Amino acid sequence: MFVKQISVFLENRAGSLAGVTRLLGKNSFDLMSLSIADTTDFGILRGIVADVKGAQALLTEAGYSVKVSDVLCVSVPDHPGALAGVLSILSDHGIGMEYLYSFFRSHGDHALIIIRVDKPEEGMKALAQAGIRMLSQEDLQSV
Amino acid sequence: MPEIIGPDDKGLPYGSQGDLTFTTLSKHGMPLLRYRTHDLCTLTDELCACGRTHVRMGRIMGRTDDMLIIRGVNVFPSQIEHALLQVAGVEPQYQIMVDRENLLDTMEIHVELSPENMSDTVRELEALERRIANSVAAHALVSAKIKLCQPGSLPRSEGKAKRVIDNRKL
Repeated sequence: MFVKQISVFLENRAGSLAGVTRLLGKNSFDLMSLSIADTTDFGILRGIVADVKGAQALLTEAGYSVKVSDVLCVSVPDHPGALAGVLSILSDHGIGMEYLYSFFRSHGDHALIIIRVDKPEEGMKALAQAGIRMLSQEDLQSV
Repeated sequence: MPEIIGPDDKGLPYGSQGDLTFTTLSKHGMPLLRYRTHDLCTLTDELCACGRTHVRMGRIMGRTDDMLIIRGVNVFPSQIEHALLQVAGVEPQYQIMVDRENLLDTMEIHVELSPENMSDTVRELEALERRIANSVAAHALVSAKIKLCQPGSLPRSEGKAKRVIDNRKL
């Protein structure tokens, strides 16, 4: 039960991010969630869109370096401690986390968190066993 | 005996710029015959202001090849290209920026990120930068800072690409 995330390499230059978001916007790609990793020299834009293949083709054609990865979209009750609970399950199973960010839209009284783990299959199994709800690519359409 | 040699290996008259070569006249063990230094300069037989009459050389204006000297090490862009090709998935689209900071030469290599090397984690991209830097250090014997760039962002040219931008004022 994974969700597809698209990541784009951003040069550390004024207008870099504006260019990518403008291109996506012009072609009606709705960024449902996004996160930016930054280093001194470059950034990585990570985003969730409904049509990942289309976005990948559009951005690659425009000359960007793009990658599609599988991430977990975890539904947690929207109260303090809930996130800690989910992260504890992962760490108890020895699953490392690469990065995490929250989804813009909420799911009723649940918050949606995007988590990229280093062992995707195992991470998914561990959370499923613990009864944690995860969204699929199809579920995203209705969020 | 110094001479200035042109690209067609013919000796050039005083005042012309060309490859500075040396021929030893009294060495026994290992004589040099028109040993090319690959440095570009001029020779003149004009009288010096102090009165001496021997041949004098002008300032060295450049190289006949594309060799650079970085912190005392001879570096050829072809070595950098070879080093880049040793790293999986790296295409030799690069530009070498040379500068001097605080009296020390610095070398920064801009390398285009190929689609197959793109990653969603900073960790993997930084590891790629390190792999490239290690390859450059192993092949060219200099430590350089590696900067990843967007594909297609480095200038392309027909014929020989301008690989080196030397900002040092020598």
